[in-house]
Amino acid sequence: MKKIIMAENLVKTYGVGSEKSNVLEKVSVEINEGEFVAVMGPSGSGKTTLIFALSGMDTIDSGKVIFDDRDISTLSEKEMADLRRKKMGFVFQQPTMLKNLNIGDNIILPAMREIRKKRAEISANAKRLMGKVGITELENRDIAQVSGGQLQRAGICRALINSPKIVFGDEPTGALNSKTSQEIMEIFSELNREGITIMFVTHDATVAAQTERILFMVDGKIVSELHLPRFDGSDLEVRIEKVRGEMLKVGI
Amino acid sequence: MGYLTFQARINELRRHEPRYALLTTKTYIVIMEDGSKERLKIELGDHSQFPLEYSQGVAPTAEDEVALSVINARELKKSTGDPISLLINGEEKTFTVSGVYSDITNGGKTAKAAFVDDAAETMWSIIYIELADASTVESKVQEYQDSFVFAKVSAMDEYVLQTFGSTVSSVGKAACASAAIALFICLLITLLYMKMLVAKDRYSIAIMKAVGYTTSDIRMQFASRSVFVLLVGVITGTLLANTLGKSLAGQAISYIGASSFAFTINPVLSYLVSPLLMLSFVIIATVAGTAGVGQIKISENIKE
Repeated sequence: MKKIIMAENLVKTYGVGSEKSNVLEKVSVEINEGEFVAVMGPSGSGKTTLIFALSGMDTIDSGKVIFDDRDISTLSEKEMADLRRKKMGFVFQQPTMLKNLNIGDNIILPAMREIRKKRAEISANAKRLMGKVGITELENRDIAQVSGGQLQRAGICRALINSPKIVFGDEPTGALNSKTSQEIMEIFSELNREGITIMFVTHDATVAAQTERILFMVDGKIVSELHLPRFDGSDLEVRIEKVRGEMLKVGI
Repeated sequence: MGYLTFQARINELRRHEPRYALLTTKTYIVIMEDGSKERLKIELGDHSQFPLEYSQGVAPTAEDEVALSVINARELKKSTGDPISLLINGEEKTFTVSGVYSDITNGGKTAKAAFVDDAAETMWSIIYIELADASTVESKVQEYQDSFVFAKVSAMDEYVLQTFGSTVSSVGKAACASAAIALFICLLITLLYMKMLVAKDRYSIAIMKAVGYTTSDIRMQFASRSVFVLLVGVITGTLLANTLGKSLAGQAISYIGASSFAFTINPVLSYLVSPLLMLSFVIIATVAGTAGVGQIKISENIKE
């Protein structure tokens, strides 16, 4: 299977002198196309920094990230922005929406940079995605007029507007209640079944148990990983137990 | 001797030139209503030959009429139709103010009348001549200058330049200074506003970058906003300059004696050079003011 991400010896340090701390310590990881990956670990273990480093949203001090056969450290700002816009999607914990735009305009924001795409085509795609996640009626609403779960669905639509190869998530269910979290996970599972690679950070064992591969991070290192069969809606409790067992084993 | 020659040439003028006027300025005493006395320079002669545009009333034609400059009318508290008492040859005579006109010569304090008075001493005389053939102006100026060495002979263009030269120069300097100040303020405000906007919009800028916009895309957006505001400003400014600006500037200029001031718009300067200069300054300020966009990192602003 083709590897969409190959990261070697990623090192990221914050602070200077005695305050210096390694957030990523020679982390190497490979992500295959179509994988459904969760990253778990305690706060400060480097989960989010890893996701940001793999997506080029944060710089690294040393190491190499190959994304879709391209070394992202050699890319110019424009090339990196193009890569991020066309091949990656992001869903953050808090809804990162522009306050001066309504839901529909926030969703199409990444596509508006594509000058070859027609506005009608972009709008049709946005409507299709909004229908898919169940927020069609929110298109013209201000972002202050919708719930956190609805905003997160809008965030997923924005992440998918340019048909990316991978969707990254930084605790995408972290600010949601369990019912809404499950609805979001169902959307991610469906996207993954359609072939989109999903990689996200989570603290929630229930959420992680619905993925196929879980990376456990402690003190800036990947200390363990757990592989699970594709989740078909059954045996969730068993999967959760496996995740919790691994968490205990690595000391999370 | 000189006077005789002068008179002879005046008579000659009557024969050769289609239009001329001899205006002689003399000083008279005005007797105010409270009995106080003021000196008034009055230009005597036929004012119908080269008529002025009067802001109020008309030029004096009758023997008992006098026209006042704006400043004199203001200082003497007279307007058209008011009586004014003058001491002529030691005798008090009542005149009627026939009109008020704009004048910036002699400190803006002049008056005009049509009566004849050979007794008072002449301060100076001006002869206005319109030549039958305008192309002979230069040679005529030289000819008259050679004939009347005691007089100053000037072509009308030169005369206007000499009369209004300092005013035009002052207005020009004021205009240049205003333009420079306006451009500096435009530069400063745009620069500060852009810096403030970039600081305020750090989070939005980070989102834009996260979804695939480059620093130059975002700076271009800021620039387009600036240019839009500038265009609104230029259009509004041009409309106001052509409406309210004229009356405001007119009021300021009226203090030097001109009650009505007609502005001639230089279309190239007003509608092309000024907007282009402002556009250049706004773009320079926007480029400098949005330099901080490049320093904004996604991870520092979005990471939970």
